[in-house]
Amino acid sequence: MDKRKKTVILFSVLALVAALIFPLIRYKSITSPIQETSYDPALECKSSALLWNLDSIDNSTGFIIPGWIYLQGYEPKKIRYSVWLKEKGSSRCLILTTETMEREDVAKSATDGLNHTLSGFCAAVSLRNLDLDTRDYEIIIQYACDDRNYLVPTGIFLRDQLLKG
Amino acid sequence: MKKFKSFFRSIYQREDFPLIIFSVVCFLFYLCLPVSYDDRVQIPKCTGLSLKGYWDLMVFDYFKWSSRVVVNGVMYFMLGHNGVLWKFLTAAILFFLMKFLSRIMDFPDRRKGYLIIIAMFLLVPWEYLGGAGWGACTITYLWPIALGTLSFTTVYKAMNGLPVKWWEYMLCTVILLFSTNQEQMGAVLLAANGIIFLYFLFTHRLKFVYFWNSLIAASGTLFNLTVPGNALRSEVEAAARFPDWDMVSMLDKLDLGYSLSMDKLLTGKGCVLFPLLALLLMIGVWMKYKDRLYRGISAVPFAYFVLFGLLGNVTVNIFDHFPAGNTIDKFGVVNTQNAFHMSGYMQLILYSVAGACFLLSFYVLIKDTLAGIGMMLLMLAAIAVRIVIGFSPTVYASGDRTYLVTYYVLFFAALLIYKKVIIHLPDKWLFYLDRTLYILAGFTMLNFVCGIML
Repeated sequence: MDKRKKTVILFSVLALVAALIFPLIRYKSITSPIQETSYDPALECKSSALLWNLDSIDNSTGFIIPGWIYLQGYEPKKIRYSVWLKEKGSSRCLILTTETMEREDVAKSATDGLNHTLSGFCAAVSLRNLDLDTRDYEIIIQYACDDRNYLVPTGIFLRDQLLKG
Repeated sequence: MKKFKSFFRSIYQREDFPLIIFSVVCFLFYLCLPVSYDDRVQIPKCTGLSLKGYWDLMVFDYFKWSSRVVVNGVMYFMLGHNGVLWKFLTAAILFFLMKFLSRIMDFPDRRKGYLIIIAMFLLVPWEYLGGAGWGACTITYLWPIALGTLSFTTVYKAMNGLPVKWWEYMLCTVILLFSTNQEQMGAVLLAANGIIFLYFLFTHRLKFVYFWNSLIAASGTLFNLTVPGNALRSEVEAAARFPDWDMVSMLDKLDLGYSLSMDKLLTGKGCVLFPLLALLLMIGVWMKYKDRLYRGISAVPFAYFVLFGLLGNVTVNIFDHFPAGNTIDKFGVVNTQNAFHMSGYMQLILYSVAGACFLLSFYVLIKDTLAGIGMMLLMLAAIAVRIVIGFSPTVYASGDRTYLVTYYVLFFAALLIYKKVIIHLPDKWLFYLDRTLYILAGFTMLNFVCGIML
């Protein structure tokens, strides 16, 4: 085998390894919780102006949690939503990777005349990162837009979702 | 009348006649184009300013808006003066660019060589130069690309043992400084000059000009990275165009830039240059080698184009889980919605495999090992400068013009590979290859003309 061919094979193997590593890192980054935090009840939102909804939760090999949230009469300049999982009976929370989604349907149904297209969100977490045999988790929505920071306990628990199938 | 006829005959008989026609048509064409987008704002803003006024705009850019201080300064000056000036200069710059490329390529038939260069140049969609106004985009994208290429005149002369005059050094230094100020071009020029510098360093044939050009390109890139205006603009743009920018992590941005760039390049969306280059590479390798590994590697990028680009809809209709139908959203091709499906991850793997095979084909085809690796690195730099756009909140707003630097580097590569391929091709095949190239250029121009806003 000549030197050129050896180099080509070496480069090919390196490229293949690199091609596999990036998707693996990507999987880990999206399906693992970003960080742990503790729940602060003082941030719980009591206002009826904060409208939200969780859509149907997909729980095949992990949870995909879609929904929407917006503050009526307020259009944020900087948007930051995140879905938290709060351990039942403790203040420990896991912050999940959350992505904004465009929700034309929500924007159309809004009555305040403001643009709420970016009110949608979707979070993901792998079952491997949760201990559902011994613990249960409540879904919390964090609305941290501009200088406002609210937590919305949804009253929806993951174990119930798992049982629903 | 007789004098007139003999004048035209003398022009027609010149070997660069196609190039003269191209430059004249280009000038006339620019004259006819409407004032649009940013030009509408920039022209009134820059008209009637004194030199101090232009300086103030550049200072504002430095502190508040952009690292393109020099490029934007030239743009302000050109747009603030008679509109014919920059249009004439664009035609002149393109004329000299093609002349220089023809000299580098050294085609046996010069006249045909010009036609090939023009045809390949036309494969880069011209409409990308109008995305933010014809004047603004042409001066801030096409000029740095063309002048950046022309700045290699001294390097070319030094490589061929030709004497370099003092004014050529001066001129090339000035245009290199100008071109490096466009951040994408700056990175490509740094890569190209750096590769040349290292190549001659390792082969013990180093000359001052290689070091000088690398130093200027490195300084220019360092300047681009440290200008305070970039960070401020990023904040303003994020607030205006990407309110959820803070929710996107660095990995998401990498995925976003990588997926958008690779998808567009590999599937030939909006520009046929990459598939053409992949085809040329495949033909070149298949003509030169009988080795199955080499042939297989060179066939992958073109096969990707056929399966997922040309026949993309057919492929997805038949094989509905195939990784071609994924939507690339703000998180890239892998996002929270498809996080538990293989499809998105497979698509990332396929992008990388096809991209790696594309780069390796250069190494296989180019005989000189160091030059082959250099070409691979240059291609990598050209693709990387588009991928990093994923880290900017203007990733969607800037549109397709951010692909221009990548496409023009692919254009230079396509010329080089064309020259390597024609040596091995029988005349009949070459005839068909040339005609295919002209037809593709014709279609690209027709597509552009149909898309012009009146």
